[in-house]
Amino acid sequence: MTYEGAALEAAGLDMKYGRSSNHVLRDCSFRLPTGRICALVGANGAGKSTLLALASGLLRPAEGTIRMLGGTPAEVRERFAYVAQSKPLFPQLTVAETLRLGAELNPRRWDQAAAERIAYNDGPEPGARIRKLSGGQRTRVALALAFGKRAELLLLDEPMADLDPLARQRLTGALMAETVEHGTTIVMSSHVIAELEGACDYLFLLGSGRMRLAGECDEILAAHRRLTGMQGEFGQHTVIEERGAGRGRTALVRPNGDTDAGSWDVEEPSLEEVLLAHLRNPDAPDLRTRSATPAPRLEAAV
Amino acid sequence: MIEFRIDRRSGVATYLQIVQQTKQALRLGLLEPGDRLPTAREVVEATAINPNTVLKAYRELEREGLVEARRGLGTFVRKSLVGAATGSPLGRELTEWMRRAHTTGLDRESVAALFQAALDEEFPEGEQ
Amino acid sequence: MTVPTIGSRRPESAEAPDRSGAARGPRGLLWLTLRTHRAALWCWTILVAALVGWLMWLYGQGAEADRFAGYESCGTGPGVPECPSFDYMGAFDIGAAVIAWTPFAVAAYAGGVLVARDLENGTAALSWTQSVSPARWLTVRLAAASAVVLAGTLLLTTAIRWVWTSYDKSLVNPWYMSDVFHATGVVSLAYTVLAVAVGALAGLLAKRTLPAMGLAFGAFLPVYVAADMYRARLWPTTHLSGLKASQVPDDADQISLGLITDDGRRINELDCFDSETSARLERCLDHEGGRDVFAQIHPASHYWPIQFVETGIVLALAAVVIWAAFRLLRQRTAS
Repeated sequence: MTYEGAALEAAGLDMKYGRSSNHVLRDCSFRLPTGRICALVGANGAGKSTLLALASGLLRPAEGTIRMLGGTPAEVRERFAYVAQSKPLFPQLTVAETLRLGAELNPRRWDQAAAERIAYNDGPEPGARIRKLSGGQRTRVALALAFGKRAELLLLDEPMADLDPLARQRLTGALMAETVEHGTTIVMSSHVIAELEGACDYLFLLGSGRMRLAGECDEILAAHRRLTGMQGEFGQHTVIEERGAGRGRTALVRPNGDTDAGSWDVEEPSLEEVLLAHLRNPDAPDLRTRSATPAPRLEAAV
Repeated sequence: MIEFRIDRRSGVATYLQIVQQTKQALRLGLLEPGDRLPTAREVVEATAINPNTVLKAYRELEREGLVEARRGLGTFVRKSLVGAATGSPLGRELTEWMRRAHTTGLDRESVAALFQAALDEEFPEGEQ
Repeated sequence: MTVPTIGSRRPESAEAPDRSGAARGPRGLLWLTLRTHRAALWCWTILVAALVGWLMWLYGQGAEADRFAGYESCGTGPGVPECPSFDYMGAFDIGAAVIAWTPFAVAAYAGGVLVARDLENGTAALSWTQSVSPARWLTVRLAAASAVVLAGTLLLTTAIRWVWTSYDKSLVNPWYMSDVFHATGVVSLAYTVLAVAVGALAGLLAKRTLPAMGLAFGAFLPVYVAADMYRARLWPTTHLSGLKASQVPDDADQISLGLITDDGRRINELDCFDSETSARLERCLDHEGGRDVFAQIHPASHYWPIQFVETGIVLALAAVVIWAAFRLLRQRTAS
């Protein structure tokens, strides 16, 4: 049942809205191995929602291919789940009826117990109407539908957006707990980087229509260093961002070779630092780890 | 059942925090051999961290021989760290030193400061 | 230090998905469609029941009106019946009009609520990511909506036909008038199906509830207008001449009537019509300087042929619209 290839793979994705020449996505390629909990970050309007909609088969790309779990989104419809940012639900149904919706529409794989665990755990009553629920309760019900499906891949568009900090922590915990048993792959788009840092082990930074950073969080962090010191030039290292610091300078770099520990104070940056630096500097070169590179045959098919 | 407190801002890797807190619990006697550590699911539900991190921490503890994983049952404490402190020669020396410091007239804060300085000197933070 | 990946973890529990009470695909989607359009289902049922009830009451009134069939006038004179207190003709016309124009409401509903509402608030996307392909989603919606409105329209048409055929048809507007033609025959069913199809396509194009309703209504209107304009051409007309033409039946759709002059021109002169005998007709023609009278009509017997031809055309149009809707859906989504 577990798929051993890529949970999500795309090559050359191109998408634009209407007749405008503004490309939301342009030559976007990436790969997500299974079993990861991936953060999809980017500025507003960077195309995160579009990318998730493309991955879910709700949109057709203008160009390029996207595959998930070894097939097209239409083929594997039963094996993945998607929750849109607005957490769409039918306002006139009750919570219990909404869970029944899940059971009725996913006849072959529905886990009522898992869905109820997420939906009712300090959430709403079964008889409550959706239109009367608070934002946090709606999110719980929407996630319950995604979980009851026993999906191998979850695509969540800003799932924690309307939640207070406590609800966010609880829900993220519930999400993580459900993945422990089944090795589910999760892609969560979000703005709140600090919270994602603990939960996510994979990162996609979307900007200028393509993946600017893609890969394991550990590897990405290991590839960056903050150098601070009085020496003027940063030499052979790739500078992402550079600023003044008192009488000297500090820079976030990708080291090419040894960072001379003598003349610089070398620190490992936090994930938030790396992301913010890249967001502030759109011209910084892309970085993709091995596992985040789509297979050659997929690229060739474009 | 012990609970882990994860401080994301501390600069210490999350899995290390779990390892350290487990060891601390062992030292304080909060965990004894035969006690079951919380499952990955329970930890993750409470702290919202990545399940991988928990597994990494438990593997590290297993590598150090402090816990053992029993298939289908959970992860259990194997060795105790209590008594590594007070009963040993080091422990006795420390108690002796404390009494001398007290007699000299040092107050609690000064002793604590002395101790912290020496600790930082010999065991810089972040290292094992 | 090796990092264990999540993929290599053994599942702590291996539960099979719960299969008890799982419905087969289409049934589940059907339940959802009906449940989320419950209000509309009730409204339609009540509307149909009310109209049918009203038509049955009208049947009762028709008996009284029937007494006046054949009389030119009513009043208080001798040999003339008292005027009826109830306007049977007016009431029938209203009933026919309501039934004839129901497809507009159906189109607006199909566009705005059946399709666009779910597109607008994201519940269509919800269904599509809950293992229902967009094509199946649309199919079930169209089928369910069509079945429901067809059943209701069939009841309404049957009821009004029953009233219509029970009494003298001259009491009401003739068969070839738009509303009567729509309401009493099989075309009402065809237009209902077209209404659902047009509504669905409008909903897919407009993607928002109110614009979809407007678009559906606006697209359906030309169909009615064109049908009224060209209905007479759907079946070959009957040409009458001589006395038959002069005594053209009252219930025929008179396309053109007139006189053929001695030099062969056809003019719209009605002076020699309603002649009672051939002799009178001849005399009149001599007087008017005409060779013959002519009448191009659709007699009442053409009612069913025209009904069937129009039904066929409308259904073919519906098929095209439905095909277009599915194509649009396929183009937009990766289904």
